[in-house]
Amino acid sequence: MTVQTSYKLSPVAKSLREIDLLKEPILLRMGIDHDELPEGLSKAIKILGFEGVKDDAAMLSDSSGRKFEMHEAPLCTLAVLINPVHRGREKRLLDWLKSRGVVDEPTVFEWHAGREIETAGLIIQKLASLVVFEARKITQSNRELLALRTLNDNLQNRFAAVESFVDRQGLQPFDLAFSNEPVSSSSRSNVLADASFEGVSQILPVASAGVSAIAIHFERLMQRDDTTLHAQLVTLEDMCVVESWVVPLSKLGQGWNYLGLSRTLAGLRRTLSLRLRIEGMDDEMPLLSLGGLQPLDMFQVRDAANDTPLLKNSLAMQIWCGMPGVLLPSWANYLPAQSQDTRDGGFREMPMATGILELADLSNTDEISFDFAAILPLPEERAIGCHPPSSGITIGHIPAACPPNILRISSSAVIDNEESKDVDFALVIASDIRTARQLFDEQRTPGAGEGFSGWISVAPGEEPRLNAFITEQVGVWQNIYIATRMKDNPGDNAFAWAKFRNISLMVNG
Amino acid sequence: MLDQIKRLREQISTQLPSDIDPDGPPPTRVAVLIPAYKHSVLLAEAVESVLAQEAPFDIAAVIIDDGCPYPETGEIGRTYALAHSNVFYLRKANGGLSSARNYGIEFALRNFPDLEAVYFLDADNRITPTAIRDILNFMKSDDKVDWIYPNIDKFGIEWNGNYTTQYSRLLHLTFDNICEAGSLVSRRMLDAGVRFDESMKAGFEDWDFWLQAIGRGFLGANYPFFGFEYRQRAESMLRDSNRTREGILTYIRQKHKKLFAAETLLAWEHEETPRYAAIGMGTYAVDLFTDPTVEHAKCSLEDFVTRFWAAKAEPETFGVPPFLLWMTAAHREALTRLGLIHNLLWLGERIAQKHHFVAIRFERNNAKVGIDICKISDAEPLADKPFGWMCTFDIFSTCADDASDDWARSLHKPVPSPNVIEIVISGPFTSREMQSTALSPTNALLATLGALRDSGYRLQSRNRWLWRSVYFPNRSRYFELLRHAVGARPVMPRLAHASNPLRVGFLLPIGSFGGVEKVAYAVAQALKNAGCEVHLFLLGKPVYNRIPENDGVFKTVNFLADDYPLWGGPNQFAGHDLLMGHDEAAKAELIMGFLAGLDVVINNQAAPVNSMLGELRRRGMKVLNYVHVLDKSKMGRDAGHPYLTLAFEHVYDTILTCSRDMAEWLHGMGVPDAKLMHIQNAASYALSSKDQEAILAARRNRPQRDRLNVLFLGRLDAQKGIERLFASVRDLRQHSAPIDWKIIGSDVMDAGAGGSWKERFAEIGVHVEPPVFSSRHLNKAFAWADVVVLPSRWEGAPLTIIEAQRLGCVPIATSVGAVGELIDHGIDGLLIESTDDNVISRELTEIIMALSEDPAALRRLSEAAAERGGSLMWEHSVEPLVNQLKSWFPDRLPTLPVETTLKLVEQTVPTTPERIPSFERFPREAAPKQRDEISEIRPLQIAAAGSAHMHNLRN
Repeated sequence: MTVQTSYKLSPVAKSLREIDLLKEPILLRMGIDHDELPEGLSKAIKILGFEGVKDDAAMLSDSSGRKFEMHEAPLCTLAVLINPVHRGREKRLLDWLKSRGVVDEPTVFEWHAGREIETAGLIIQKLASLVVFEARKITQSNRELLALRTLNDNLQNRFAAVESFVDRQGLQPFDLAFSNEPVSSSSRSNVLADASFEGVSQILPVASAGVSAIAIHFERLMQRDDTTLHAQLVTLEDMCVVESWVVPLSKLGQGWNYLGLSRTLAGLRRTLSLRLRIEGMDDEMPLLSLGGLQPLDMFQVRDAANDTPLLKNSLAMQIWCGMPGVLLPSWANYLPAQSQDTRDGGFREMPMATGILELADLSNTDEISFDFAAILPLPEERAIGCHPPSSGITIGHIPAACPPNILRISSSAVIDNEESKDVDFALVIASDIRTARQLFDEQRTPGAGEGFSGWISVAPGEEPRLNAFITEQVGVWQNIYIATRMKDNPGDNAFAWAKFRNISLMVNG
Repeated sequence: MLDQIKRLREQISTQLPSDIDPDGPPPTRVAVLIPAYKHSVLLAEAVESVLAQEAPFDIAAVIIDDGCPYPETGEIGRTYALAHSNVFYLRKANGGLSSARNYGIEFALRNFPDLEAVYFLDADNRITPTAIRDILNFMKSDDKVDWIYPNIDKFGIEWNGNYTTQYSRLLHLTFDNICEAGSLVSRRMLDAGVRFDESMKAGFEDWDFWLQAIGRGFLGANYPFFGFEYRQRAESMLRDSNRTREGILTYIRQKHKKLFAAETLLAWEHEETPRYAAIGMGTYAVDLFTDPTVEHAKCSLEDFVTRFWAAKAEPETFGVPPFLLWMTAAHREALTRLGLIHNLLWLGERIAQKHHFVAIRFERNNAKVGIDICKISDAEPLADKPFGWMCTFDIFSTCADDASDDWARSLHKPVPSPNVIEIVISGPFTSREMQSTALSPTNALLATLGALRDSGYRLQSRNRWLWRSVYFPNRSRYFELLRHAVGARPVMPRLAHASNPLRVGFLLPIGSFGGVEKVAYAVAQALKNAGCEVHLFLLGKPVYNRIPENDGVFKTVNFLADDYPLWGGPNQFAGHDLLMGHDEAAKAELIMGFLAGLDVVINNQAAPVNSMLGELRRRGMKVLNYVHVLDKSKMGRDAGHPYLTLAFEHVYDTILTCSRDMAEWLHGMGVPDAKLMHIQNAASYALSSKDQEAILAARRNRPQRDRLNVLFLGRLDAQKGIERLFASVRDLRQHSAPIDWKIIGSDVMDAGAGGSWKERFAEIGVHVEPPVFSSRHLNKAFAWADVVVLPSRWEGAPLTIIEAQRLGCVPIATSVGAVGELIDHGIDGLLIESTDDNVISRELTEIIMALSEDPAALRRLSEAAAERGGSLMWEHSVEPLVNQLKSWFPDRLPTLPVETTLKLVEQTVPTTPERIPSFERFPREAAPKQRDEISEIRPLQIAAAGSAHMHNLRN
């Protein structure tokens, strides 16, 4: 139910009746006199007769039988009631509507005398489904509004944090917010060795907001490249991984090692838990330093697998808070985070993992074939090649790559050869190839859980960004379809090295 | 990202089977109830946070539109309900938050048969996506927990409050509503009928909700990582509620009176934050209790050390008992046996807060139980080995932090560096109980200190580890919340026994051998026999003169042991100085704490405590006053406790009198008849019928003698008519009458210019014997005597008459007070009606002479007296009182055989024949004696009652 208008619309030039039809839903009748319809129905909604098309304008008649021209498609045609005898004539009307840009064809119901109630029921059913559809749209809008409001809150908080740091005249950009100094002991247990495969966890004694780096202290370690320290920072109130590190032991040193966050945490304050595990080593686990005995059970170092205390100590640690974007001085063994999945609410753009790109394959094998792979994963370029045929389209398929909380899928469209002709690119989110095909063919608009970027023409050297917004989140994983075709169809597809590059997903929250 | 996608995939895969379940959607396990009123836009945010829940079970969001006037609320609610199968929109007429939540509860119970819990989410708040999953798991992990409440993480006006501490009902009632409405509530609670009070529209309805749950035995728990987000703006309903907080709290306190009762709060303190830690000596075990006689928690010394340092690090989250005690279990048991352990802890707590350390020492004394408190100094050094030590957590904490322990180590010295007070407890301790232990309490104290100082936890940094702000009070100081709630300081640490007997406190100014005390002890014994648990409270001198027959009557003996004036005050009523509750000298908090935890108090002429009885009654205790005698000033003005009774009449539920005469006087002075209850006196001590019969038989079989044995038993003072007695004795001796005298009693030092009565009697050849108190000596005296004389100027209903009569000893008494109710003149005793001293002395002499000459009359009187005295029993006398208690406290007293005659007390008094003037029936002769009733308090009362116009009759 979208409002379709065109440059032809000019209220001054139109009759009053036509303008009326642009403001409310209507029913159209074909081959049925107005008087044949129950009075109750005609009182409930405006019902107009479709008489035909003349000079590109639809001829309609009102309840008195008076005819008038309609140049614009009505705002919302709920249904068309047709005399079964006149069946087939509705094509003229539907064609006219389509020529006016109406994508959702109105449903056509046959009108049988004596079965008016059944027909009214069908209309009501249609209305009810529209109401539900609208409700879903509104809730989706609310969700987006909430995301925007959260984003705004976070920006406010982040900005306020920056302001507060800016105001700290004469102070360092970093504060040591908490320090639990290592306590040496000859009988010190090796918590990493004692812990299960999941490693150890330690609740941090400061709130998340403002945390920039966490330092851990190694009393002893073997500096090996084939062994890595995996660290994660998790918020316990919502179990989000806000930052993670994968660091070869060769980059760690004895003493303090600073796990730097990609950006200072902001937003609502949460309780942080640091999880550490070693991968690739079974013996000679690094010896993490511990602080003194910890009387508070909650803060004793724990086994990450079962959350039980391993010792009566906390880890030795320092927690640094600071201004976003500021690094610790060079003397520190500063280890930046690898993860990009910092989560602080609002919309987040996540690049599609290369492992997922490699799952891409050709979907419409029944239509096209090449001597080479028409769909070619190019993980090193973070891209997928999608070679268009000279006629028709090439459709690629990335299975189950679209999670339920997706808002948008985006990709850059490039042609990696200057001699290529222009190529059209499109992205679709759909459950199967049949549905995807309908969307690529623009036979209908996307439904719930679907998205379509529309076709974008690209010339060599251009790199436009395609965006397919999901119509409504449906709570299931969807497939992603990519497609290319020659702009001139059929056309010369030599050198048409079309690629979807830097595919990313925008998620909410 | 991979991690996240993996996580999402896992969630989806776990959801898939149910998604394709052909039987329909998975059952709803949790319903989130969202009352909506004027939060139209934010409502969507709350609903969205429910829809975003990541849980392997179905969660329904139920929006209850409480008649919101904003159409947008309905639009949003309907929209979400249309769009999502698990969102429900209910609309109802406006009834307030409670009504909306209840509406949602009923809807959820009706429509979700598999419901396990509901969560209350206000329309302007939010929860994180993992909240419901995690808190439901947390709740199900502990079967004892029925609701889970969050820390408070506010956004908007940002604030994060630490609510993480073991759930405490004591804290919840006395501090604040520590459980946000945004809590998960088990179905069990809802099935038990816990609902929001719909009459509460101004706020704190959630507080009331939790109190209902507590009242039904449910418990909550905090989940530290809840994920609850509370929207705080500058103005809110909560802020409005806080403006009317006191009014709402008054309603809540009234509604949940039982929960707010001192005994309930005490029981919770004992369970949740015990007030005392008794640290074992050599056992490495620590007992944690408020009442040591009730089952309580224990822990190892190591655990105690950990808790100690945890409490130092995060005091609002972790706590240890605020008072520490070093004493062996055997010594604690000895104090329990004597009924003194609660009193000792109460005194120790009181003193420890003003001084560094309290030393405790026992002294063996079979004649009395008592407390002596002294400050240790060069003049009064510590005895060899204390039996125990007490101090506060604060002092011990300072010692643990101190760089050196020299200061504490000086406790070994006779005069330690710390300020030390010694409590000396006297009592009939056994030899074994008096034995010291292998490890002295001083060493145990220092060993505990050493364990704390050497602990690795001590090295822990002083940084705060919990990042949320402190809101709760120090967990080691909940005893202060209790004090504040019951208006007491400190609160007697005595819990109700598990069988919950009726606890009756007898308040006395002193614990001597006076008639008032004896009546109180006898009534206490009778109430105990009726199933009550009776306790003795002495507000004056901290000494309870022991009467072996009374051992075991009182469950506990309690000494106020404070500088507490027993009479007087800055206010005046009918010529009597008196205290009122607001007077500083009333020591309101002290007295409230001293008497905390009782169901009934019976004031036995402890004058100043009247000022606090109103407050006790307001807190649910039944208050009785026992009135014995209308005293007289030197000038002859009526004075004493009956007048105080008139002053405080409003606070008494019942006024007990020992005579009909006193009841009539009070009624005549304006006390409603319904408040008055006459308890007929009976003998103060028990005597078996066999022993009684033996004495009576001996009397009957006594050879005919020509001399009369005359006894006086009592204080040698003006009230007892000592001048009258002296005159009569002198006359009879001058006439060489055949009389043998036995005068037993003690001199009163300020008896006037005449000097010692003892000496004056000696001058006329009569030896005055010292007072006797034991039943054996009393029986011996009454058995010896033919007659007992009481020429008193005023009396109540003297026990001496009844006890003498019981053994066939004929009473000759002035007809004052209720004496006439005890003697039928000429039948079972003889009355002297005159008020003139000379006439009375003359009549007394004549009556004694007449009896000495008429053995037959004496025998007839003796037998009638024995019959009368033997018929009076306390069990019968207190029956109206027991019935009254039963009516106040149904089911708290066992059912005893019911007497067929309700007014048995009155009917046991033999029918009085017409009075016969003494002169007509008996010749004049002989002299009486009177039994000593050491009543130290009565002269005090008389003195104060009369102010400057009254003579001070006290020593």
